[in-house]
Amino acid sequence: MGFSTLLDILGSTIAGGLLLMILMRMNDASVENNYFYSGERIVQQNLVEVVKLLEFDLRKIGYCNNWQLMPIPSMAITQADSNGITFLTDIVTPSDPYGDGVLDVMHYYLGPTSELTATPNPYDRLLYRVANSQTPAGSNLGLTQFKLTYFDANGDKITSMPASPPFGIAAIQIDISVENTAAYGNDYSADKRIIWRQVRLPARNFTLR
Amino acid sequence: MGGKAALLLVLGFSLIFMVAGRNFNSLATSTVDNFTNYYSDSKAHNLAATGVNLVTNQIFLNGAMADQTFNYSFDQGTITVTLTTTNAFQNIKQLLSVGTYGNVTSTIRIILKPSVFSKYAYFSHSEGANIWWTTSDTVWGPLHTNGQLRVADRPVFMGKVTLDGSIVKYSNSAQPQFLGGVQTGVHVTIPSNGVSNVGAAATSGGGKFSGHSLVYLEFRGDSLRYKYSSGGSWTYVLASAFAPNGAIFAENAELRIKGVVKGQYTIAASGTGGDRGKIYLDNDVYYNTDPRVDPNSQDMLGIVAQSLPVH
Repeated sequence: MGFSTLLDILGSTIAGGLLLMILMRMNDASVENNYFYSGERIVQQNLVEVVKLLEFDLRKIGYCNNWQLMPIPSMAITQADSNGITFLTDIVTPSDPYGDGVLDVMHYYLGPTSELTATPNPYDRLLYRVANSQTPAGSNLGLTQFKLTYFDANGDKITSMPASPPFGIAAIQIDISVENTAAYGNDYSADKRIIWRQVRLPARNFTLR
Repeated sequence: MGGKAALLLVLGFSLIFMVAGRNFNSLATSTVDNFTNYYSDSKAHNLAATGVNLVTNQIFLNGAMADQTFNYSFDQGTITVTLTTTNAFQNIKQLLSVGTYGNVTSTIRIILKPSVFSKYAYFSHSEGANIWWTTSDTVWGPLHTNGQLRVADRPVFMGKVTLDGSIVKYSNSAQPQFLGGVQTGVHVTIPSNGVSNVGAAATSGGGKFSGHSLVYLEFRGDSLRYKYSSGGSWTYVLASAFAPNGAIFAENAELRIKGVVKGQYTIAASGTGGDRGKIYLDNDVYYNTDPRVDPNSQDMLGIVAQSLPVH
């Protein structure tokens, strides 16, 4: 009887332990799924917000409410490389939905990874949007790539820019990738990355005059 | 007791999984919502752009189209385009296109202004067969030809290039630099009534000299001065008062000019015989604000002479 009882206790301990392990595994899987789904949602929301902002701003390259202040639209891009772009525009505000009619300078560029060592993701960077002479400021949306490729009027990729504008840019290709800034299990593999490409965003104000 | 416990266990787990499943579904739905919103925004913007294209095409076909509002239903959305003339004299029109998709709206506003012949830095009706644009050739403004554009090596076109024909390359190594863009299929008719147009504009709202066979005109920034003989005395006037619309016309006269141009003017001389209808540059004529230094310079001068050339 004593041996049988011990056997029962041992058996139930093993069965209970197995059940406990299953429960813990289920809990872990549930937490992982939760992180995965919510992380993906955050990444996608960040991506959409970045893309909306970029599309809105880059469409207005060469735009000014007082159009006579932009006599040569092809001069509107004042600096361009694969990591950043500076252009003339007219920034809109709620009080000036078409801009205030004064030329503004907008600068987009990607900061270094060293700025965000506090985040678990080693690849994320700040995307800076600097208007005029404001102090550069950016928010961490998990951007890991912001690459600009330029094309001329013939549709050919521009490999070497002139020293000063006009640069002959007729279209811009924007490549963006966004990752979770703190992914579950520090998994930042390529399949966890969201990539967006705007193929040849036409800067229409360039070619209208 | 054991049965109840098992039942409670099953119900408890079911409840936990239902909550977790609902949470996952909510997250997945939210993700889809996120992209749906982006889709709606993009579609509203594309609808607004479509409205612009539809109405600009109508304006292209009928430049005298009256101000009005256009309404379209297109691709499960609606488009409202309002055409407004903002400057009747210069025929500047504004298009306000509002695209609506679902509860999202997007607005595009564009300003349309008739193109002017004077904007071209270089214009030709035909390039012939022997004009080849090549390395060290640079055109610092808009270029148009109604014929073919022949290029070799690496000419640079800083302004927009438009042409009715095609680009002919001397060889495959030709790399023309169209830094202001290039557009084919554009035909521009050379104006044949420039003098009379300026005369009409000067009569209606500009400055006109008539009854004199010789006119000396000097631009002096905000003012002008003129006289009718070499030894005559100058008459001084405020430029904006003398020619409010910028047109200055010497009817059946020889026009001699010089000075500093501030603002936008077109001067013309009509007449034939002797030096009538000719325009002479007695001294330097230059802009108050050099557009090469300040691209935002608004200074511009057009010279139209009935009898060529302008000296």
